[in-house]
Amino acid sequence: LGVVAIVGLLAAACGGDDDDDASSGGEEAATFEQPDQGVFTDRVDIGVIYDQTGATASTQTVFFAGIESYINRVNEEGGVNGRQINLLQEDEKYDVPTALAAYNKLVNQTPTLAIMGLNNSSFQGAVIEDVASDEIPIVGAESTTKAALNPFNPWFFALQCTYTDQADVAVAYLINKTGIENPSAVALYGDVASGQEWSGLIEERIDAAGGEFLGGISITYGSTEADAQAQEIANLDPDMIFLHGGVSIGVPALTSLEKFGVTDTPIAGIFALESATVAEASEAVGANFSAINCYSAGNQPDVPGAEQMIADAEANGVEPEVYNATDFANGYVSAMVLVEGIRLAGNELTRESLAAALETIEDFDTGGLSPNVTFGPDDRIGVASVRPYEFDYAEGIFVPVGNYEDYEDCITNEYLTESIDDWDPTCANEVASS
Amino acid sequence: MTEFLQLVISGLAVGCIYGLVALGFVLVYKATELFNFAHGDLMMVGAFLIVTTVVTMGLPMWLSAVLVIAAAALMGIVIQFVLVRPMLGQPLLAVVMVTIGLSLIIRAAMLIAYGPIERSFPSPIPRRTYIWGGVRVSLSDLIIIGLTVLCLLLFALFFKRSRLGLEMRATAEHFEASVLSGINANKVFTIALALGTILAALGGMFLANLGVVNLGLGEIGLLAFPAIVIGGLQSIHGAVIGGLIVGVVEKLGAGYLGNDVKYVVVYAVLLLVLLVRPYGLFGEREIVRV
Repeated sequence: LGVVAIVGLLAAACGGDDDDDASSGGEEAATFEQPDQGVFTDRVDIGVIYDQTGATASTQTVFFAGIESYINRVNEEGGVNGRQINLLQEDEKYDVPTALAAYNKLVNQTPTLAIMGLNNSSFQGAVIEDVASDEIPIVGAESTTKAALNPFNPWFFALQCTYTDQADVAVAYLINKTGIENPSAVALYGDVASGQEWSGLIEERIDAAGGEFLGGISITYGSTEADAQAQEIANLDPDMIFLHGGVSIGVPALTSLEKFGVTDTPIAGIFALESATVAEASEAVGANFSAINCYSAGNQPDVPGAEQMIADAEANGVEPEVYNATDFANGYVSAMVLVEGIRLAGNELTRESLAAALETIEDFDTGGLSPNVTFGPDDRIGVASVRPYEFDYAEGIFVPVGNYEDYEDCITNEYLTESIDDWDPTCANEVASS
Repeated sequence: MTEFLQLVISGLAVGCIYGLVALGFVLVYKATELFNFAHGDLMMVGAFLIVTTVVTMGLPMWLSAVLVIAAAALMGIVIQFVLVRPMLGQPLLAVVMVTIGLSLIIRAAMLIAYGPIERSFPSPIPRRTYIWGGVRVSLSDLIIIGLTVLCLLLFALFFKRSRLGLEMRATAEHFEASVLSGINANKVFTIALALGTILAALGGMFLANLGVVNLGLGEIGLLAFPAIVIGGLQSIHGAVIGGLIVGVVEKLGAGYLGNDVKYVVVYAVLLLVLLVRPYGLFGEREIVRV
């Protein structure tokens, strides 16, 4: 508690930046109440649905730890507009029916102002129409699927880069890295909705580049090895591999690829694979492994916001292996944006006023933990840039390859435009030359 | 043909782990008729304990393995005295519910103790792969297969040659007759639980060597159930052969039909075996007087 208090006092004394502003209204008492939306004069209830005990608990609990660390500091400093933020957690066990029950509970039974989470892409797809009809803001999920954005859903505020953004950059980056203009490729993916989607997105881009997509191969979450998949890839002998999943997919994938001699083929993985555990599973394969992400970990260089994030994490008893994961930064930034929205909504806080306030957020500085966040009347993709990272085995950290701006030309926004006609396979070439 | 052989070898390696876990399960079932749904979770505990001793405490692998085996034996003894012994003679459903409760308690305890974060295990086995006739076999696979065979030989010798093994077989064969002939049934039950838990922990240690350790490892223990049913619920060697069949069928299914259907193939084989031999490939047909 002492550490929390000292950190809180230091943060209050420093003042000035966006996240400190977020809690500046703490001393003014709120007068407005809307209990059927989780809003009281002294507190506001926020639901968080995430996997606490299922197959993806290792990443989703890290996401929650980021949310909790930021919210605890805000509450220590007096809350937002006189209200404390009360997090109501629901364990979805990586099970869609369980997650749907948790969602209904947070909308109707113990109503909350907003919900964070919806991380499981299969659950996200199943619940997204309800979100629109229930008119409850969703602020930050660990994945952003097409179903969440198209057709336009004014209640879903995405704070994770979309799979199309990641695919845009992943394919262009490996084409640039290998110098192969018409590559052959396979997608290796976790057996969930977003995995199949990833495979389809890669196929589109490889076709657009004039290459040959050799197929999508799935891995079951929780597998101890991926020998059959690695054997198939070794037989196909692709120029590049595009990997989907988290640590529990990445480790067996890299280990089995090494076993089958697939060590020279470049691999690009989605955001959740940016983990030292994955890279260290096989240095032989990891040397050619890149992760595409829109969040920076606490231990990466030149991230101004990392110092405060780590202080909040340590005040919350979070260990370095947790706060140095990008999932933690994802949760932390999601909480920053939520708090900013609540602050902007003012005293008369409702689901509607929160959504209206979030919509006005523009160029919100997250201290380099992510690209600046912007929403708009027709824009619900708050984090719209990505970049590749590669693992530095000497330092034991992932380091970014270039800046977010370097890859902006690659982004097609396919979820909205439903076209990649504008995608240029050579869009990442200038990064290499610079 | 090379692809087929490759899938078979991969299946044998993972099947050995299923077989070890299934062997521990059958051992306990034969001695106590306890259908232990927490067996997979005990395997997960073994994996976490080896990570703790090697990574956190920095102990050498051999010493860590000895400590984990000792801890597993102790766990088995505690489970026998706290949970199994008071339930002896109770209806089967009540005993099953106790083991499901034990499973939940173990998972919760491990979640509290270790958190949900995956842990990587720096396997002491070098990353070496041998290629024979185009078939790739890793050193870790060979060691896992070798250690499993060694375990089987030791257990076979134990059951056939030792007095304690004979007592265990006698108790499993006919509980009342064994007690009347002077066998200490409580001692037999305790040793069976200890040995069963040791085998589960060994399976966990082997799984840890494959890469990442997490709370989900307990789910893999569920694959021991089809192995047990295929092999025969009361057959020691049937459990191991069942494990190998499950491992090989899983890999062939994933390789030829796709990852999505690999477990469907395993359970299809299970159904086929049950249709032809309802008591499993090596199980004993029970004749019940009606």
